[in-house]
Amino acid sequence: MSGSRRSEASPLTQDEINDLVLKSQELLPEIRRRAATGVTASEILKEICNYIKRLKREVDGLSQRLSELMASIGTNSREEEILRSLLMQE
Amino acid sequence: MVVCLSIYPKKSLQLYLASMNSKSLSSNPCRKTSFTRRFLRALAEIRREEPNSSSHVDISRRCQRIKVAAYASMASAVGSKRAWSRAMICKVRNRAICRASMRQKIKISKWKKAVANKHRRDVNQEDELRRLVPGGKSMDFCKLLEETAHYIKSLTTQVQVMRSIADYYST
Repeated sequence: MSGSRRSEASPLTQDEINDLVLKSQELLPEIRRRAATGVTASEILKEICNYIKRLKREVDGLSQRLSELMASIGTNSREEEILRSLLMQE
Repeated sequence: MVVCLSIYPKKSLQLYLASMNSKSLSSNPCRKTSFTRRFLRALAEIRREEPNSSSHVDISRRCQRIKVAAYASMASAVGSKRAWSRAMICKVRNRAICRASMRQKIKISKWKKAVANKHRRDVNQEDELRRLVPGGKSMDFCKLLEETAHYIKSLTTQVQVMRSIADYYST
C-alpha cells in the first residue's frame, strides 16, 4: 500500500499545489516573504526537508549537551519548577 | 494569493485550517507538559542506570539514549492519533526488541541504499520528505503534508523544551 508516487517531471495537481503552499506558508516564515508565483512545489518541499533536518540537528546537539550535564541533574526531580518556568515562557 | 475555499472538499485542508486556529506554531500546553514530564522521567532513569562518568564513550552512549528518549517521549505525548507518532512508537519498540545481529543487517542494507542513491541525478524532494517523516512512506501526498505540519510543530516543541531543560541545568 505505497503512497502515490510521481516523478519530478509530472506536475502536481492544482489542488495539491495550493494545499502545499498554504500549509508551508504557515510553517515556514521565510517562504512568506517570497512571491507566491514562481516558487515551485519542489523548492517548497526542499525548504520543508531542510527545516526538518535542521530541527533534528538541534535535537542531536541538545542531547549531547544534556548528556554532558547529566552529572548535575540530581536525583531529586525538580519537575514542577521546570514545568512552571517553561509554561511561563508561553 | 487568493484561494477559493468553497471548491476544496478535501478533508486535509479543513483539518489544516482547524489546526491553524490553535494560535502559534508550537503552543499546545497539554502536549508540551506531557512531553516534559515523560522526558524528565526518562532522563532520571538514564541518570540512575548509566555510569556517572565524563568519558567520551559514556557521554556518547548517554547522548544516544537521551535522543531516543526525547523522540519516544514526544511520540507518546502525542499518542496514537497521528500516523507519524504511531510509526515512531513502533520504531522505538522494535529497536528495543531487535537483536543486535538483525540491527547490523539492517544497517548494511541501508548503507548500500544510500550509496546507490548518491548516484541519482535529481533528488526527489517528495521521497526525501517521506524518509524524514516517520511513517511517511505509506501515505498519500495530502496526508503526508498534514502529518508533516504536525510533526514539525511537535519537533519545535521538543527542541524548545530540551533547550529549556539544558539551560536550567546549566546555571
